[in-house]
Amino acid sequence: MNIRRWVLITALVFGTGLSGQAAETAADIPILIRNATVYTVSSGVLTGASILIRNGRIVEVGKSMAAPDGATLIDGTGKHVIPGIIDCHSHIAIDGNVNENTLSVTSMVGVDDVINPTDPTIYLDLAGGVTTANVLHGSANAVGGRNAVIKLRWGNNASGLLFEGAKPGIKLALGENPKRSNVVTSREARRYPATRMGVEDVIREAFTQARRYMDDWEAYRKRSGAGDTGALPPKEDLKLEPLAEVLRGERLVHAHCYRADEILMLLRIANDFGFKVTTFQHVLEGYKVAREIAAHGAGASTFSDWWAYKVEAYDAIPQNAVIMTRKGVLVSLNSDSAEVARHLNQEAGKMMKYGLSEAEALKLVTLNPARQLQIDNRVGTIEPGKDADLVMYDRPPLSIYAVPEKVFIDGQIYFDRDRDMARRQEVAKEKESLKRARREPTTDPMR
Amino acid sequence: MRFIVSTLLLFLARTASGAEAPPVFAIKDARIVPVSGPIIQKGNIIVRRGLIEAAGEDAAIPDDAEVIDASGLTVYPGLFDSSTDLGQPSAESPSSRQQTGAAAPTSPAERSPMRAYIRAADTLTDDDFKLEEARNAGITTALSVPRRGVFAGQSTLINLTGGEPSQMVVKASVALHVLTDSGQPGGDPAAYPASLMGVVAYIKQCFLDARHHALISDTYGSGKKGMLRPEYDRGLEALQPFAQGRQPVVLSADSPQEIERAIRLAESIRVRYILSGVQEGYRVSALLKEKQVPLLVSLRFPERDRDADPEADEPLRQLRLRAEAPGNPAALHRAGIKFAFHSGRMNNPRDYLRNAARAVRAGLPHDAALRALTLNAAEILGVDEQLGSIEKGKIANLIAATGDLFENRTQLRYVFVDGRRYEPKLEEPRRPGAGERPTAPTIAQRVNATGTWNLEVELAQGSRTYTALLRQDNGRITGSVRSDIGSAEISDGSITGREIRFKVTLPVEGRQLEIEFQGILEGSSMTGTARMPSANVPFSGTQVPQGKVRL
Repeated sequence: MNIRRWVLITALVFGTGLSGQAAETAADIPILIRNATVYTVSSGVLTGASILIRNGRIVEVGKSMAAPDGATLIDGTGKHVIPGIIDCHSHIAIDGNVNENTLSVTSMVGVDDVINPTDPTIYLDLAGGVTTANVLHGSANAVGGRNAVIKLRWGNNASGLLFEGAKPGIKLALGENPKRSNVVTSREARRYPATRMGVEDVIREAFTQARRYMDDWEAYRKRSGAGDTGALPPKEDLKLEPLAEVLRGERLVHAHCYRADEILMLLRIANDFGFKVTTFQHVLEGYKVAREIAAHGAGASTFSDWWAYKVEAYDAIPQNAVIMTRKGVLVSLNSDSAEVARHLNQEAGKMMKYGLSEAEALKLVTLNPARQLQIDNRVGTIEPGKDADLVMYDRPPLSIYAVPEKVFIDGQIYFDRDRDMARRQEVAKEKESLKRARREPTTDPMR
Repeated sequence: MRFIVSTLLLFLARTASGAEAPPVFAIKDARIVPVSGPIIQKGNIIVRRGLIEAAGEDAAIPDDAEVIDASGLTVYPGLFDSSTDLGQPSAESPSSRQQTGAAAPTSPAERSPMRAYIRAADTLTDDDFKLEEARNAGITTALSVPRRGVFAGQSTLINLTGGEPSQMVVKASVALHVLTDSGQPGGDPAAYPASLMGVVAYIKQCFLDARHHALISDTYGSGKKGMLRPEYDRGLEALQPFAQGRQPVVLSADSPQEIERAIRLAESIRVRYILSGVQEGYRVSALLKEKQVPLLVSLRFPERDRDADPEADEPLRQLRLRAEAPGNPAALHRAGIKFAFHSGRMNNPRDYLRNAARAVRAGLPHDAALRALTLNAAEILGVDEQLGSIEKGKIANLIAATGDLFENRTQLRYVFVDGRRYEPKLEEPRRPGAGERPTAPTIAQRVNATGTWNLEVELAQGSRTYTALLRQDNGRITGSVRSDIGSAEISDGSITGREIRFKVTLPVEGRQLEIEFQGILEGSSMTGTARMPSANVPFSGTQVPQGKVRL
């Protein structure tokens, strides 16, 4: 089959995944989207506007633009184009368990080691307009594993999904999950900590060890640098290495949390150890301590209106994102679910009910998460120089009725609704023929 | 009557002792396929003390030889199976592991993910009917692989003589086998590492530790006064030959992402490596070629579960894989990749050659298939000086067939292992269209799980009791489990040997959880592991004597 075969697989219907195919647009052919309503996020909404894409990047955005020779033209009449949606909290595309459940500190493990590029939820979320996801380790441990920021380039292999150059991160978790209060477990699997006090202690202890580890290496480097050939290096420790990176400012911290008290607790730890909390995740009581979060410079990535699913989620209010925004916190809305990720535009739209403008609401799933993940030089808005990660809707994007028709990543179409529909029949036909081959005696005389 | 019994006993004794091993055989007038050289249309092979003394058109037959008339027969080197659990105690048996999950390990050492110091040679047993089954299927040499833990241990190459374990060993330590299966690779669900990402991190850290351990130990050994002595660590000691690249590491990988992941891992721990399984290798053949990775390719082609609902909708990917799998070896061969075959622990060893023949029909050249069963395996496993072809001085592992090895009607007349002659029972010609059926007699016919059982599940919060009504029908288990809020039907129930497995959704601490029970049946009791989404806990069951059931 053609290598450039469309990747429009009917995962939606058949739960089918295929890999090894590139998207269908060649990178070097310019693409011009014409006469669309363009939500630039950086500089307002342009009607009747064009976007010129070359080599995977946005080259020009404007009203009157001539099509370059040989350009692929895409008619945007009646269509609405936004920057690709960025999901700041996702667990898709992970092979095996999302949690390394067994220990309270699992900074040695990483989602980046176990990306599964054939997970059909990648395609499902892509079809919902998500182009970038912050794939996080679970929240079973006070100090969890490394993350992976991926682009949903369905059809590529694991390394082809990684958002190249994105700063690495790590998961911390506070509250009920790391103290394992909601988990049916065996006697042997019970572990420290079982209280919020214990969670704080585990995190402090981990960073204390990381500091000591850095000191040991520093001492060794000094000795060997001074020509001491007898100096022996300390053991490389995969658990402490990422925490040392946090302390050196080389790794972002994404902290799962709910309650105001534990949010303040983590801010104290961060201040004591001299690192920044990059994002508070979920952060349903963030509205109570929004000023403190803003003063620290941390972002907040929350849900629109999802709460009361456990005790620590009882004090949530749907105005959370709005209040934090008004208090100067950089806020995003995330999914934490392959299903919710399919309609993050609607999650953002709901925030207009609680006081955000359309522009502010759209930022919650585009520019703001890009800034939180420190990839806003590449994605999050529609402006020249940025990656051509775009979603084309049939209606205004925050409408409950809006449906993504085309999703671009790096200027290539990775989802096209029409082609997906057509492809479903092809898949059904192929499946039928494969099944028939199984049922009927083969011509192979040896079988 | 007495006569019959004693004859029978004699017969049994004879079979149990394997086969007679006179010092010298002359296999006369055979068609010889040496694999290492051109085919000899008619020649003799002289076997003395277990070695090939001579092979060729004019190999003279010594006076002291027992002459075996092989006219009309074709003699090949004995076949390798490059990944098996042959000779390993049955608790380690991955074929049962695949069916029912590993039997619960008991001792802390067995639960440990670090078992690199284990050598299959040290746990070898001749008490294994599968040795004979494999031999009857033409397999004379097998890689016996330990299958528990992350660092499962070192594989041993054995000749399937079925004699004293020590005499079976050809090479005691071939490779280190590292299991990266997602989930719990036979280890302890309550202990690190229990996730795939944990396993990857664990493997990396162990190799960092091993190299650091070597550095510290070497420095200490070179006489540094005033230095604290390094701790003894048998795991890290055992990793040394592999960390230093003196011996290879075997990683299992089937899908493209598993293969890519295994290569990334092997490169990051800087070892010489071999990939095993590689069922979808054809999809990443360019990568495999580029990396020059030797492969042990499974011939256990994916099959549809015989009990599967015929109307069930299956993913296209799975349907395609099933259709494409027999073409995998041909594609790897076309890409110029070196590989040997293994059986993938298939139930019936006779399917090994049958599936090799399917690979040939799917485009794998005849010679390449033969090499993958013989000389390539010997080369990849580092025993090509001793095995893999019919050459003077090599070990006399030979099979004499009634025709071409990949022809359906061909039968094996003789199998020689270490120069001992075995005569496989002649097989009934297979009916066309017959599917793959395990021929091994199962203990299931003798073990009976049918009845009412009290199942005690030990949660952290205390133990909980459920009542199960089980019905055994051949290898299937059906029935229901009662709790205080009602009754739930069992699904996916099976029994293989004494290993029972079934799934049921039950209320546990106020939640409806799907629990997978896996246990070992011992008369009227069973013990094992209840697997839940969040934890694996022990359970035990006792059968309620009939007549005492309160319904």
